[in-house]
Amino acid sequence: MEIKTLLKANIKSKKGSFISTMILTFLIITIAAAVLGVRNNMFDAVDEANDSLGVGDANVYIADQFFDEKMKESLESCSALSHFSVQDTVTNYGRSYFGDNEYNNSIFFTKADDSFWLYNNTLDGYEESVRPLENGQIYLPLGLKGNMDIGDEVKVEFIDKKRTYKIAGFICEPMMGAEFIGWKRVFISDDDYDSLRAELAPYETDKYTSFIKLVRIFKADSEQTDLLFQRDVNKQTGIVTKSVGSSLRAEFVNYTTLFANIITGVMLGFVLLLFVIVLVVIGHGIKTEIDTDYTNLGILKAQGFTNKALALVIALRYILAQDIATVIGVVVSYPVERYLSKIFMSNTAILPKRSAAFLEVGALVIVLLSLSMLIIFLMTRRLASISPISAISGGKGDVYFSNALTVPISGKALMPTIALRSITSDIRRYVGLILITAMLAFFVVTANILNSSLNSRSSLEALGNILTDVYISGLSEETFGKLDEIEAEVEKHCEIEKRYYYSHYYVSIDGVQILCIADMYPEDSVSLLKGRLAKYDNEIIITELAAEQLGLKIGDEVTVSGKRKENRYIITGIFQIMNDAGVAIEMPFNAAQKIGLQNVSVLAWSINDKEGAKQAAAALNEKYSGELSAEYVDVDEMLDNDTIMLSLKAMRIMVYVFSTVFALVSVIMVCSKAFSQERRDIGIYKALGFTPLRLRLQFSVRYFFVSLAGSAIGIVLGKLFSLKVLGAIFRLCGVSRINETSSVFPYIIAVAFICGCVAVFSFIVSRKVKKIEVRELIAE
Amino acid sequence: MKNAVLSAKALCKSFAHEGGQVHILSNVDLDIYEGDFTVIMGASGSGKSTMLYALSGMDRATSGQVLYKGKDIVKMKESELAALRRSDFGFIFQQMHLVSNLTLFENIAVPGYLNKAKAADDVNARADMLMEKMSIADVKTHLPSQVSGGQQQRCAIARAVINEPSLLFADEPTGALNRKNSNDVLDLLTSLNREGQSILMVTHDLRAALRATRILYLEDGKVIGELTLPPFEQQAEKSRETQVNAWLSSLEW
Repeated sequence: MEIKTLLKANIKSKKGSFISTMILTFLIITIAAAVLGVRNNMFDAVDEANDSLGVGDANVYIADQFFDEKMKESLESCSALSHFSVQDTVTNYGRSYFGDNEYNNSIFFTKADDSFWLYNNTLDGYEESVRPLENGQIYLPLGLKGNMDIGDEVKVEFIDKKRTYKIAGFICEPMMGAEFIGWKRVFISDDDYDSLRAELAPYETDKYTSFIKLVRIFKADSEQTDLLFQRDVNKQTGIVTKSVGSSLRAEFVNYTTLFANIITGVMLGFVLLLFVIVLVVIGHGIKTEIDTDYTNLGILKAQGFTNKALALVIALRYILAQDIATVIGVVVSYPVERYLSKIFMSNTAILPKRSAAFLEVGALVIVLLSLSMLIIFLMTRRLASISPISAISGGKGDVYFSNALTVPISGKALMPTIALRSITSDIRRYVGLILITAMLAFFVVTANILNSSLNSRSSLEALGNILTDVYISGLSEETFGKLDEIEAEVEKHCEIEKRYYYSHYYVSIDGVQILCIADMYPEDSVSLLKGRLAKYDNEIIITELAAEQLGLKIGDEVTVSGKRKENRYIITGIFQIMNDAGVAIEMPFNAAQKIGLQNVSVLAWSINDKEGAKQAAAALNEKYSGELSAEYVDVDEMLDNDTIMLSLKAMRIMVYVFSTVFALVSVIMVCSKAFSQERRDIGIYKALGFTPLRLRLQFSVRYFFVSLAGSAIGIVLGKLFSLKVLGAIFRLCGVSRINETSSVFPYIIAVAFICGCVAVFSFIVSRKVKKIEVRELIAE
Repeated sequence: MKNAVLSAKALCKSFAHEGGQVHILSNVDLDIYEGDFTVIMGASGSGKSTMLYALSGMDRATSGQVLYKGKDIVKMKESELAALRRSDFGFIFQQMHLVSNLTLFENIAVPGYLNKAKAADDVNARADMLMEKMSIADVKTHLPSQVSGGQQQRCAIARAVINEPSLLFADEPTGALNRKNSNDVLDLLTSLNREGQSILMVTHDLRAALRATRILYLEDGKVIGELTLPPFEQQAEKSRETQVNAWLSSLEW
């Protein structure tokens, strides 16, 4: 009963601390539960779709002419696989138009089968069954939706046969449906497909249209890894070597979930950091509470309350606040999870599951509350130091102590020097806030680095993306012969900054299919991490992930097989690229010629002159009409409108909003405690003639200095660890390394934001100065 | 004819208590004169401290006026009161109330810096001079917690006079001190008064009251008696004590 009475009184007198603890815990539980829910539901949905819709463990794209009876027989007799399925497709490259937009990647047109689910009209569920398509209709994967709607038209040019399809619905297609995957599978009616094949049959395939078979192959031994399985199948059948490409199920899953995985990983990291802040705030709160309530606690002790009983009252208050916040947080996390899932669904193109992550959230809650309990237990041990006698006879002495860091008070800079003196005379009191601001600054720096790393042209290029201003793809051998002439035409209109003349194609290393980039100007496009670029025709470079998977290192010699030839190459360096989940090799064009590559298929230029680039593209289209199609790309506009960039912006906003709320609540808690401790000093300053405004500014300046110190630590931590943390998250998602931005803005913005928040919030909190009366100092 | 440095007119102070009003000061009319060492005495609960707060602007009167240089401080804004405390009034508390993280020197100098009437170097020089005078120069870099109560109170006096206030308020300045330290503090106040400093002090200590040139006796929120004395050094202490004792006895103190 006595504990209950004390607890009630304690909550009443510490309302601010109680509510603040609730808010902080609520935010953490809400984000954590929502993010865990998103990840669970996303991965479950992706796995279910892959299992139910027959995605092969290895999936090979092979031209019709290579998939002959012999190949079929070798597959049938292959001991590594349990079964396989074959799907005919007409593959179109770069001549499909969605509204006004041309799609610059391969699209596999095929008959509607049972390898997809049809979304309902509101895109929040699947239809019970797939409606058969009528002639002229098409099903598109959700990742192709963009601004398109049901009923909109898709125009395609197959060789010279133009077709127009009306969108009949959007589908969940787990192989290539995700936004992040360039290749896409679309479905048309059986009649449309058959008539298309019949019409195209007399023609030779060209660089835009080809007949590809999609072969889905399933493991005999489910324990075998996808990569080894593919290698074994290839060793026995040669199907991968003869293919135009192959994908593992793991790669589809990785690509589909790549973005959501990175973002939710960052968010979970953020939650962990916020939780550490909560622990610091709780620890600081208990310490200060014991200091300020010294007399009351001493009186209670004098009346027979034990340390345990007093600790229990404090612990129960925090636990009650956290428990209430946890319940509310778990409930609120559900709509938040639905909202986040919806955002990521536009990226994964797979409807997330709707189950709550009870187990994970439960485990998380137990861990978080246990850690809180531990901190409460450790901090309440200070209660043992309270002596009833000293408490009753006037409490503790001055909180201040003399130390070596004494800053002289200057008449010319009275406010900042008094503020600094307050800090240096009891620096221990500010350790909590310094830690909190350090962690907030660290996280804001990390979020800024992530944002600037993924939201600028140079950084995206550093990650291995190629962003070009003028772009020609599908280059024929004949047009490639005019390369010097084409380049001269571009230079008539603008200065070329960088040249990207390359082909992406698949080769195999020791039977393992891998993306190969044959490059004429690797120095302009390759993001080298270690070693040196491949210069000679017997050299290659490899990504870190590929080197790891294949057990290779710089200096090793490997056999690389093209479709017709193979050759030995020495690995000279490690590079990174975002394609193929970061698993690839790169070689100079003359090295690629040794294994059969005739010409590069892409010519692109980076040009620092928008108008000139536009003119160059127009001039090329005019001069080489019918031979090539040059496209001007407004990279800045593309980055602005990119859904991933928009999601990143949203994430950064979220980080800032949460950091602001945390800074606010932490500052309120810390400053309120400081107020209780400093009432007397504030009264004295008022009696000396300090105005409330001056005292508030002094208070604000003091906390600004504290946050500056914390932010400085946060920046050092950011400099040391932000890239490592992001690198670890990216690495889990298949990107070898995230490059450091050379800009100081991520750091400056973080400091300005955190210090600004603390200064403003402490000024707001200090409005209580007005309520402190000088007469409180006068002893009756 | 003495000049009034501060005048109270029909000063009232009351507090709400259990649904009613408790009147602490009732229509007090009072002048505090320039150069006087005025002491307010009275029994516990007579309202002497309340009167000191109201006169010094530390607390607001319920009604009436407190006129200083023709302005009513009862009606002053918080910022005007702050300015008044900065430049015109000095205050000595019973519990000293030094800022605990400032050295004794800084405690004295800070109000000087704040006032801005003097350059920082001049403030420093005056603070040094005052510390010498208060015999605390040897502990100028000490924190309040590192010196005795007497040294703290002397520091508080120096702080109160750093801006050469028109009127120095003192609330039981010897209340927390032993006899030796009390005498030292009273000597200092007497010396300041001798140099022309107007002082208004609240005390219930007879020895402190002996330093006054004018004693007011408060009972139930009203001034019921007044005694004028010659300067302390002009009268033998024994005869002064007898005179004051007799006067207080007549008031049934």
